[in-house]
Amino acid sequence: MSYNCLEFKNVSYSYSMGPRSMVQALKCVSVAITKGELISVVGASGSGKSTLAKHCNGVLLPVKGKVLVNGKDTSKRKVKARLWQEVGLVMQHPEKQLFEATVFDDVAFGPRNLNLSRQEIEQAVGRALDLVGLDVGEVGSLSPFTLSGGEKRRVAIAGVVALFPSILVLDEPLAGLDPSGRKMLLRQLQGLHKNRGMTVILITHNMDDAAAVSDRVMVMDKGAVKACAPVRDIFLSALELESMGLEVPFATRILHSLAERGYQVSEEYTVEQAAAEIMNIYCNRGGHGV
Amino acid sequence: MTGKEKEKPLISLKGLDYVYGQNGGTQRKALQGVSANISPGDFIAVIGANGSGKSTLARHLNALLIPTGGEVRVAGMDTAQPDHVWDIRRLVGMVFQNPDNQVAAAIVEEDVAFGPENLGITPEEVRKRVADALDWVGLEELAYRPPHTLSGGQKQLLAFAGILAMQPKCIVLDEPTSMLDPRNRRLIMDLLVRVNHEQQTAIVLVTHFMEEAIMAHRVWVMDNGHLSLDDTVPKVFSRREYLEGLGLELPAARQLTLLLEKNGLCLPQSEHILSAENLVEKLSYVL
Repeated sequence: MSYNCLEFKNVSYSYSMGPRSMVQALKCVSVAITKGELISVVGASGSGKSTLAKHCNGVLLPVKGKVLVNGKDTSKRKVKARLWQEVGLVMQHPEKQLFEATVFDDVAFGPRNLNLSRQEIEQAVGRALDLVGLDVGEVGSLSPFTLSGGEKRRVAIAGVVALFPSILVLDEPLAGLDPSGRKMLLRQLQGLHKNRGMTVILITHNMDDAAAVSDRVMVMDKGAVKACAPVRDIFLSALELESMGLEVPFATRILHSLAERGYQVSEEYTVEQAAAEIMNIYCNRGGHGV
Repeated sequence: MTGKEKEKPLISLKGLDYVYGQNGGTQRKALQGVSANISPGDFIAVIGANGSGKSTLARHLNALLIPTGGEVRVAGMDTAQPDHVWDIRRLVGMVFQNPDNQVAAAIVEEDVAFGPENLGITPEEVRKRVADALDWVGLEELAYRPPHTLSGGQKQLLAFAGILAMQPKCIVLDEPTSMLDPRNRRLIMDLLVRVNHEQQTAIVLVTHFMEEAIMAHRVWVMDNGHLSLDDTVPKVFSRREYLEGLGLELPAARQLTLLLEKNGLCLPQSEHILSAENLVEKLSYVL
């Protein structure tokens, strides 16, 4: 059954940038996220994406309004104290927070704080590493610092996944990864969402990634939510997105340019779909073909 | 060559090796036998998977790292000679990934002046260079703001202005846009192309974005510490399987072009189609 596992109700948040200047980082944000959804949050730097992420697990509390996780208000002390088990937050550059001597210990840090038995901890670590595409037998005993950048990132994410939160929030998890690392992590996030029913909130600058994996895309601009809808409905206004410092996916850009030149194309957002659209024009070109 | 003597390289790498952990700890070979030249006015993109040695290579270009084997020379000066370090850093400036780690002063203008002031030039000249650099990057209106009130993109432009004001012969950038949004990414890229074109400053850009690599004249492909390919942009991106095998990808325009070819729509000189603009232009001839 689908219900709202995370709800922002009229949330505003400001922080101070010096004695006389306050920055309003969130302005009356209202949004409801359905259980099991994969939602991308896009927006320019400073649009409030990270502030929003930190509200999901009570690291920040609203100045005005309410955040409800599975119906419970995050500002209630009792709720806040247990929130870390329900909402996993992967911050920017999480690999900087690796600290244990081995990969196993690093991923086990969370589960150990849950009072699990040794066997349960081993299981949790093994499964979490597996979910991010790493093998505990292969990397478990290594120092995390000997791994590549992409592997370190995945270990850090495993550390959060090991608590099996029902909601996983990731703040720019793809930044700085090479193309194959990017694709792999995106696939793994999709897997967490599809196979384990985890609700995934993915914060990114990259419209192509957002378009490729999400059920819905939420667009933020200057602390406010400008749109929150399935991909197909979001990318309609390229001009509007560009004025917010964003851009439409590559394929959409190509199709827009063709439309401007008078060709009949429909709005699409992946390279494959764009190819199909172009082939369609090519095969039906009458009269003015060569 | 047309009788004219071949231009001397600005930076030359000869059999460069680098091993991390030489002072104890686990040793790891990060660079092996890298040889290449950078000439004045070059624009080189360095691509490669995470851990392939791109950043290690970049840090050798202005003596932040010293080779453990082979040599690096900047304008003929060996980077391993401590006496040369300051002259080398005057010629080769560096911009890093994280804009927050590169701010040195409390006011934007002072931050830009920090580098040139340390070059021992006159205050008038410093003032002129700071004004010019801020003008180039479009931050002149923010000259008196404290840097921490700038956005991430603006801080990165500020770091770039600080390097420009030193008037180096070469600017090395290590993933300068990976923390920026699309608008600021475009700003930085446009700026690099302009500085390279108008001031003939050599640019070495380490990047994970193929859309940025296509702005360069040449691409270096790093694989496991080796410089495995050094060629023109179209030639490098004509090698799909090789790049994908290294965990890299083709620029989106090239991917789409190949997909169209597979479906029977062949575009003329397709290996040169690398940008969206180019693809749309070529398409408009055949559609």
